Amino acid sequence: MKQDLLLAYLSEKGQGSWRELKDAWTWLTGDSQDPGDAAWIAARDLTALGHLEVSWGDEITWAAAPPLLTMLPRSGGRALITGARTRHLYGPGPDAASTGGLLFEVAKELDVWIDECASTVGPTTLYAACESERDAQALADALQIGYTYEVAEVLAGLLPDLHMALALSPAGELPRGFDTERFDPDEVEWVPVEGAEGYGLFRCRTYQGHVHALYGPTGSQRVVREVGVYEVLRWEQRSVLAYDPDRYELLVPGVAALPALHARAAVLCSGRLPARRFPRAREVELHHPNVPPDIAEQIASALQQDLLLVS
Amino acid sequence: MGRMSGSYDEWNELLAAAYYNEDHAGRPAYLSVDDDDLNAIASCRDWGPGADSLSEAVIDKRGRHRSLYRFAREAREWRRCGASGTPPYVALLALCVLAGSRMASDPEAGIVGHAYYARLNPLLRLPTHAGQPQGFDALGTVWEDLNRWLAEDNQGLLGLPTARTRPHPRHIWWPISQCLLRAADRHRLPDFFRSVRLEPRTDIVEPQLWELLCNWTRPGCGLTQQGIGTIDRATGDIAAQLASLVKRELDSWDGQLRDAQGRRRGEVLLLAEKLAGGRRVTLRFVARRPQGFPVDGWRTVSGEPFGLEAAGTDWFRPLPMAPGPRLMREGFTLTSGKFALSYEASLAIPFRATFEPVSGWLSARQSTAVEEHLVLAHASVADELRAFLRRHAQGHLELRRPAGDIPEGWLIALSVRISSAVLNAPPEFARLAPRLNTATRLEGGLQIANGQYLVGGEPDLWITVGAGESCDVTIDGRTERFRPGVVPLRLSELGLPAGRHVIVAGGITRNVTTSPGFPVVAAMGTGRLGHEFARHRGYRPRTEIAGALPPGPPPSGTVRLSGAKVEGGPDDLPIGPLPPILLRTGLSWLLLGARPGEILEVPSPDRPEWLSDLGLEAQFFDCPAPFPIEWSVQQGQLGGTKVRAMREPPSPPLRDQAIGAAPALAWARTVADAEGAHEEGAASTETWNEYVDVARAILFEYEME
Repeated sequence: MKQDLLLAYLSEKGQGSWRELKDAWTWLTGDSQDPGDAAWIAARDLTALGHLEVSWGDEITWAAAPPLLTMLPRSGGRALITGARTRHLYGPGPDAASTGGLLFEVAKELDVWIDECASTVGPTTLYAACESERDAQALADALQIGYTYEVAEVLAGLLPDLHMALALSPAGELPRGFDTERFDPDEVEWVPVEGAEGYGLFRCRTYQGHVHALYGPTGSQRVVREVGVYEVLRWEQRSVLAYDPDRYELLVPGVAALPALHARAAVLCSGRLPARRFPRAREVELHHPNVPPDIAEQIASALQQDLLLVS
Repeated sequence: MGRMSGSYDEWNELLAAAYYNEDHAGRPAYLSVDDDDLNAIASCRDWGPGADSLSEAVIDKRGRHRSLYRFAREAREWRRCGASGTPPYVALLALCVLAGSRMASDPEAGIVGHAYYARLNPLLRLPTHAGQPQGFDALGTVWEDLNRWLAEDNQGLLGLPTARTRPHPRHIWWPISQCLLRAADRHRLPDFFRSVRLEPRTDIVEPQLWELLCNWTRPGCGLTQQGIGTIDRATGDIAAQLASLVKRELDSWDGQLRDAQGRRRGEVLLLAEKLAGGRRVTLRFVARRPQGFPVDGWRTVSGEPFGLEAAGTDWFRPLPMAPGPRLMREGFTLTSGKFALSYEASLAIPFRATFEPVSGWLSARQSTAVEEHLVLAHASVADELRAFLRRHAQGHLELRRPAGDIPEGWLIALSVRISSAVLNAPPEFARLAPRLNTATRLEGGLQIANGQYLVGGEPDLWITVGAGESCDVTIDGRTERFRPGVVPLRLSELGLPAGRHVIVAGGITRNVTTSPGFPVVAAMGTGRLGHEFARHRGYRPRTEIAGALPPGPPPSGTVRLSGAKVEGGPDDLPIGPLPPILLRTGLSWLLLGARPGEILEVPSPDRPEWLSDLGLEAQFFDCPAPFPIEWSVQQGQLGGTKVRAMREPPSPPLRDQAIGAAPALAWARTVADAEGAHEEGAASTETWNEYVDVARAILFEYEME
């Protein structure tokens, strides 16, 4: 519910500052002490679902993403409605009778059924149950929104290689005077260290948040955390991504979450955020559902990972 | 050699430019002339004491008749001729205001109507007790013309009119309305608005506003001594005039704080961090960075450059100077053009817990009842503070000097909760006295446009009711009574319909407008951010993080991504999958292509687990298409066969392009067996019959062999 309200608010505003997003989320979550209720997590999840783009620069801004319909693989002929979700497009109510919006009006005219799947961690997932691809195209045309057949596959084709992502990271060291941690690629965890010495990925928490710096033979770079993590995993030839071909699930360690675009490619296979599993104490594993093997392969390949098969 | 005095026309132009200019556009403008202002103007021109110079100029202009009617006549003539240029009466009106401002600055008497002419007459070189000057009663029309010049001729671009009168004594209220509060005090009114949680455009009745102002006004509140004295002494008409003035200021308030010079002002605060369980305390200056505040160009009062760095969007990085004893006692100001950052010194400072800019304790302008505070106080008031806290606070109340970098001569008390009303706080402890009076404020909510909230995202109404009071809150005509305390009322849980809602509480009327949203599928700004990729062998991102996307379609060789929308030329986009076909579950399917041998048997799969997890049925399943599918042959569980075209129109059979003998035979048998299963009357019947003919021919050839 709160995620639905946040998405509606961001969609109605179109674009804005981080302060606006954060204030809205803080108001929606009230006095929540749950670390999972942080505004940056809500923003990250909405970007993975294709609803939002966030520019995590010095001055953080966001913009709602264009609404779009895309067919999903292995979904019983369902198309996912992603991107901005104004109340004009989708107006949820407390019950089916009071739920409305252009989506339902047009779907009724075209005899397409809309499935609303609630989520505890993200906004309601909206699927249009189609009998053919033509139904999905007609629905998108009538709503005047974009349509892409299986956008996850297209996204997977766009994923940049790790070295391309790193080429964009600016040179820079870790700020001094803060408590420092190093990413241990063997244990796949962060461990406290005295300072950034030797090669590896280091981080410290400053007044503005965590800063990550990658120290290698050619110098040091300020990096996006996820990119840095997979780069040091590559150095150590350590593969952490796994795939369950029976369940079509991509398994990702929580501490080595996928970079934003890779996560979006995985999430848009189902329109659902990954389920959190706890295989061992203090260990979180993210299970991305309904990821076809070729997309899982493309994600792993872009991150220079060998996909481990599990069952 | 300098001149002794300015002419009337010179004074007229200078005063009009000083009090009515673009800086006041859309805001109330006052001709609040006083001796300081006049001296400042005159000193630049070597005119001697400003008041004397202005007085001389007006007397010269008045001429020997001693009457002020001439000014009224000139005003009418100026108006009749088209009212171009500066009104000719500003200097005279300024002199009239000067008389009032000299009354206001009298620490004993203050503004009293019967003393006005005794102040004005000497300025006009008339006997002090001569009573009302001749022609003074005609100046009402001149004041009205001034209002008209501001409101109509200049459309408020030089300021909004503020001259007002009251029934008795009618003529002197015009000038007094301009000097009730000096500019320095008016510029501090936003501090008052913010302190009592009024927002821009709050609709509040003047008596309630006056009560809040009186409650707020106390030494240390930021008003000058003269301003505090004026408000303290005000009764009757003076109080009503002041309330009107404050209401006008509130109505035009843009939500910003200002300093005495009218610059937009940000606050420098103290941030305390408790370490080792409070045994060590560190102290730093931090400054909020209100929207629009620059990072560059900051200077100290003495003009020295002062480096500031932004820390995110809302704060500057901690100021690069320690809170030393002198700064703590005297305060300081930094300026950059029309912006100022100031630390206001105080001998006893309450701190409240905060998570921004970092977790710690942030100095507060005023303590809040019952909430936990840390109090930093100068040692010179330690004894008085202990006594004060014993009377009004709960907690350990121990004043001590912890390790860390607390400046010399300052002490700290931890865990202080002010738990009783402080009726008469000494000036040095004014910030420790919480304001307990009935007030409401709106907080949070999902504001999608100015003053407009999304339905379901209505803000919370916080109601503070002081001890011994009660508060009736009326929302759209329904009233509920609240008892003393602080109560949040979640408007979003009231199921308010879209539209305007009127909330009345404690004399304040607030309007909350709720909207079901805008009638668009995508709001302005949607899709403005995203990623750009340059297509080479692979795709090379142009930026590390999402950034602003330029308008228009992407140029050749570029692909853009915003959310799930991928844009690019057909040659630039990654090759997507061949769309599979959707088949109904629970049936067995044979799929046929146009070439004999293109046949695919598809069993119905189990429902995917992830759909089961979501409670979704799978009436269809997607089947990859290794060749262009033209027909489906559906075999029901109870027998019966149906043939359906999968493309409209289906392609004719390609008899000469058979793929292998065995597959071609299987293809032919399937078609032949389903010969009569094609839906009658369908547009594709003719083509299906062609397929049947080809199938028969293949079977015939096979039998012949």
